Amino acid sequence: MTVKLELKKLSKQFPGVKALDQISFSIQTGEIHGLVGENGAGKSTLIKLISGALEPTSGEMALDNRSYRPRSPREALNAGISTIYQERSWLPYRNVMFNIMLGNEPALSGARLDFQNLRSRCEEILRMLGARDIPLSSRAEDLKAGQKQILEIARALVQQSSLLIMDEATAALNNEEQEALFAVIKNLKASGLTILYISHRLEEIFRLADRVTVLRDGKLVRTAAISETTKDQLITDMVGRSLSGAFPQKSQPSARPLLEVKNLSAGKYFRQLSFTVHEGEVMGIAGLAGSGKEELGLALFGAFPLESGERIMAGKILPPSPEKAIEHGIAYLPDDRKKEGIFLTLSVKRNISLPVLKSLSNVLGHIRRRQEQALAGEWVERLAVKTPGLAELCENLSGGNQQKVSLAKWLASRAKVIILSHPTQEIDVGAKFEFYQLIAELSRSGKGIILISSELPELLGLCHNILVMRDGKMAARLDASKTDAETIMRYALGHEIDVKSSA
Amino acid sequence: MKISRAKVYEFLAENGFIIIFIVWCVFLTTVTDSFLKVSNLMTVLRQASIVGIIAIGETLIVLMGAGMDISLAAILGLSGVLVATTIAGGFPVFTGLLAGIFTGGIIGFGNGILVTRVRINGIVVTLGMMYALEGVAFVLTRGQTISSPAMQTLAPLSRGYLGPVPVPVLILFLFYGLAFYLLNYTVFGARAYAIGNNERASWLSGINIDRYRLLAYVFAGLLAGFGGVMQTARMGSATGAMGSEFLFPILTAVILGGVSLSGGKGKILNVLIAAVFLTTINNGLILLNVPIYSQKIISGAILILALSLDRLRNVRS
Amino acid sequence: MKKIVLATIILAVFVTACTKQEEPSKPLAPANVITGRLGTPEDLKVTPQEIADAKEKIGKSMVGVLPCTMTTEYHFALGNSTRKALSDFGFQVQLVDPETKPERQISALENFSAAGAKAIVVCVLDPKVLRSAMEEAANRGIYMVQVAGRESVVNGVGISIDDADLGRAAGEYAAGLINTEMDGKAEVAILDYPDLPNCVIRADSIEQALKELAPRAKIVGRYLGAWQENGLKSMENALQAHPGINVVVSINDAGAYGAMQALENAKKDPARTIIVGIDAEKKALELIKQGGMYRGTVYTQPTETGWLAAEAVVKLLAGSPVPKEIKVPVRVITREELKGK
Repeated sequence: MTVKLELKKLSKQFPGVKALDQISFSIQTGEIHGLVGENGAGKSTLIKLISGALEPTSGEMALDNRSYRPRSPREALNAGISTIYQERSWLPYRNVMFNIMLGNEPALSGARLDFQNLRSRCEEILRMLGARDIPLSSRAEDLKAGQKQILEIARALVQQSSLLIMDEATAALNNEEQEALFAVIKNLKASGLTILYISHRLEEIFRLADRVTVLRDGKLVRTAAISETTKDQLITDMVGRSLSGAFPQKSQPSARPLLEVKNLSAGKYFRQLSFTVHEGEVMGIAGLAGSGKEELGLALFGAFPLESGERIMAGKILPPSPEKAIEHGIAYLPDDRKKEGIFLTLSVKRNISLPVLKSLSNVLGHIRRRQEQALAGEWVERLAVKTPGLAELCENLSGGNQQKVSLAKWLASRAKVIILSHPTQEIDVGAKFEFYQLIAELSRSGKGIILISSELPELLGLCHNILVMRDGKMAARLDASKTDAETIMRYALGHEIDVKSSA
Repeated sequence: MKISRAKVYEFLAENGFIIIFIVWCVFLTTVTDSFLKVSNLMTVLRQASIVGIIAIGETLIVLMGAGMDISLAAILGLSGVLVATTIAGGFPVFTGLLAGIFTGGIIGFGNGILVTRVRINGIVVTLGMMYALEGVAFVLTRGQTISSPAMQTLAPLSRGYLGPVPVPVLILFLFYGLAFYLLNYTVFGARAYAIGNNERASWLSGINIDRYRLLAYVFAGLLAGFGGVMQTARMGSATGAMGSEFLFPILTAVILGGVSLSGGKGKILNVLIAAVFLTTINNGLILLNVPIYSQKIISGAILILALSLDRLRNVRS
Repeated sequence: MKKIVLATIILAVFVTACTKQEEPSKPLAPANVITGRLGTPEDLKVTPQEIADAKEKIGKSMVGVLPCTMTTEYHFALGNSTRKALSDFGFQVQLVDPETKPERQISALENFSAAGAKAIVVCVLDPKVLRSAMEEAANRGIYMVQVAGRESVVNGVGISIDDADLGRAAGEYAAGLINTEMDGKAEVAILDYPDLPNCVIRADSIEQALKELAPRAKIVGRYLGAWQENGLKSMENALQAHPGINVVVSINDAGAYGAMQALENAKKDPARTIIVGIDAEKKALELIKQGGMYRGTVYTQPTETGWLAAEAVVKLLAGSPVPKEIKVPVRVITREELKGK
């Protein structure tokens, strides 16, 4: 097998931080090479060096045995390397064709757009990706998350590259879309493309990759063939310590009810849901996309219009508003944390204290700074949030730490019931485990937790009970200690009658 | 195919002002008998031509998310003064034309460099440039009107006809035709929209964003310079303040025409319609014999109505 | 903590700087004005003794000049001539251009006061807006000379032609032409500028004169003029509604130029079209001499008014009695007069 891309002692120094330290490994032609590591390990920096968005401080790269030193994304593209980034890279108000062809618009005599060519090439590529059903004229912002992802891959293919870098490609996809994407990736490999695949989800790496490289704190820990390593080994490499027994022990929930839900209905989203969350209980809500679980989460917080039904807490029926919900002690961590959960441009301190600023200020509205500092400091310590200081802006923290700040904000408000919607999305392994510890601790201290998630291991490992939703109705209510991932899936899909053995 | 309510609102937000425009025209046609005459329509189009042409340049800048150019009216003014000074000074007409247009291009280039290389905010740069240019125009004219018989040679540019169509109107449609083609049928246009839609994605796809934005400012400057030529031809003279009244109509035409101020969205032909709409408001009020004291109120009211449709963009069901 | 110290320092500097400005100056005597009769330019003739007294009284202070704008021929001539005349007398002069914005005149007045001016010549854009600022200045003992208007004078004199006189003269002349050349019947458009009260007075007087002296002429409307572009646009539009317009009387020449363009574009017969303006700008005089549609313009004597203003400043500073209101006569300049030259 030939070497496609070789990295020799690649380093990148930022002021005050050495992001990459003498990274050396090679990617072989035609393989899917996985790249794993915690947040902050240097994966993004490495990708940016390869894709021309950054220049290395020292070290070299060789592409197809020739020296490779791109000084801009354009040069990397010309050399045949395409990158699908984590951040949103589509043009929202432009149609599918323009999105796919971005940067490679086919032109007649240099300036005039060749629409015929444009159209046929787009159709061809979409067909190859098995996405024939995406209409060329629709606007990017109207597509579903999975389709948007396909657009990005299509764009990379248009560039006729030989090396494709995919950074957290499955982050925003639901289960079905992920499966579709894996099929596409396998096809791409079969057609001779070399792929560098970065993901938090080790199951994916084990499914797709031939070899894998682990980074930790900017250094290379190991490069190995998938067949010669295990998930635990990778986790140990990534985190530097063994994390067996990943989930903390579950405590015993009490019988005292915290939040009672009766006959909650909201049109086509969900109908006639009733359940009770007790003190110290972790209740999971599972379901596929469109099952209504996310809308249920919002409704429990009072942020979703209800047709009928009640939420009762401490004997009182809750009116439908987040403000009242907070007053009664309900907290909600949204899944799109960047848009809805925290204030990126505010400091850690202010984020944590925001819901309770009134209690931290005097009658005239003046905020008592020392009290705010103390409160924020207490929670940062208890949740082990890694930040250079309380005044640090939240946008500078890693995903996992941002999530912790989000949680701290609610804990500081002494919430009794905490609703979490996909809380560990886009968080690396180490931070995830810390988060699980926190949840366990919270439930031990008597709080009620509602965990809405698509990650079945997470639900099984943390929850006492799991509600499975399908098409807005409660398909099943399972005891977590007596069920498994397959059963949950079957209820979610609607195949609970037949016991199908997984392939 | 079911059309969602959100889509209807969005369509109205972008194009709703056209409906108000049509209603206004119908109203004028029924109440006055002079609105729909060919001579009146040509008058309206002629009056809209300069604003319309410069609005093309402004649209380019806004589409690319490069801010907004507030100096275009001042460029018109200075360029007009230069054209008049050159021609009144005895130079051939062609030289005068070149002087005006060329100056516009240079100033546009200056604006563009300050925005893309020195990285100062577009509005800040062009605001300062506007004051500077107005000052220069005043110094050059010393408060006087610059005029000379030689400037009559420019007259065909304003009063000439091709058949029933006045030359300025022809130029207006020609430029919009070119702009439409440029934005919708060329690589330049595709990339201009891309930059406005997602700057980072465009850069990562190898598009040289600074170069495109610089070009936008240069184009806008050239068009404003040409506008100065046309206005001087129309007036037969130039004054230091000749540009000032154009700023508001240009910006209004762009905003009313539905060009999103954050970039990436907007149809150039809507800007043309908006510019014409604005002109018909003034024209219509005079035809209706509305006393000048009330004219401002009424035109303000019509504008608020048309602009408020933009609010539909943010309506949630 | 750091911020508080910094703020205190800045505050201290500010306070000391401000207090330094207060130089005790001898207040001048209130203006020695005669009321009860309307003065003429004759009343302002100055003697060398008066000039010497005035210069002694003013010392090192300056005289402020505040025109309405410097971008039209009339106001430019007025402002310039005032400034030149004052410096010819040996005063220190400073001129500020408010660009037709009354708010800027207020700040200019305040700045002149702060700079220690002893006299200010001002062309008031809007009497109501400027009233309190002028009273302020008067209270500090500053002499004021108002030009191009007389109603706002406080602690000084007002020198002007009356806008009503201007309007009347223009309207009268136009009416005369309508009666002799058009048999008393015509479609008349008046060019107006509602933003400035004195322009409105002119337009009102024009209308009144026309109604009195040419009752059978039809006034089709008042349109926005004052600048050439406005005049052109308004007339283009007006002609669509009233294609028979054959007389235009404008509050100034600048607007009339535009109207004239529109009428020419509409191929109006110059022999049967009449345009009358106000200001007697050079270009207007040219046009009148050429013998086309432009028939007359009212001379407002801006240069002469400037001289008179400077003389008034001298007289006020010297303490000599001056009539509070001085009227400058107007006259219409017609084709006949120019053809003779």
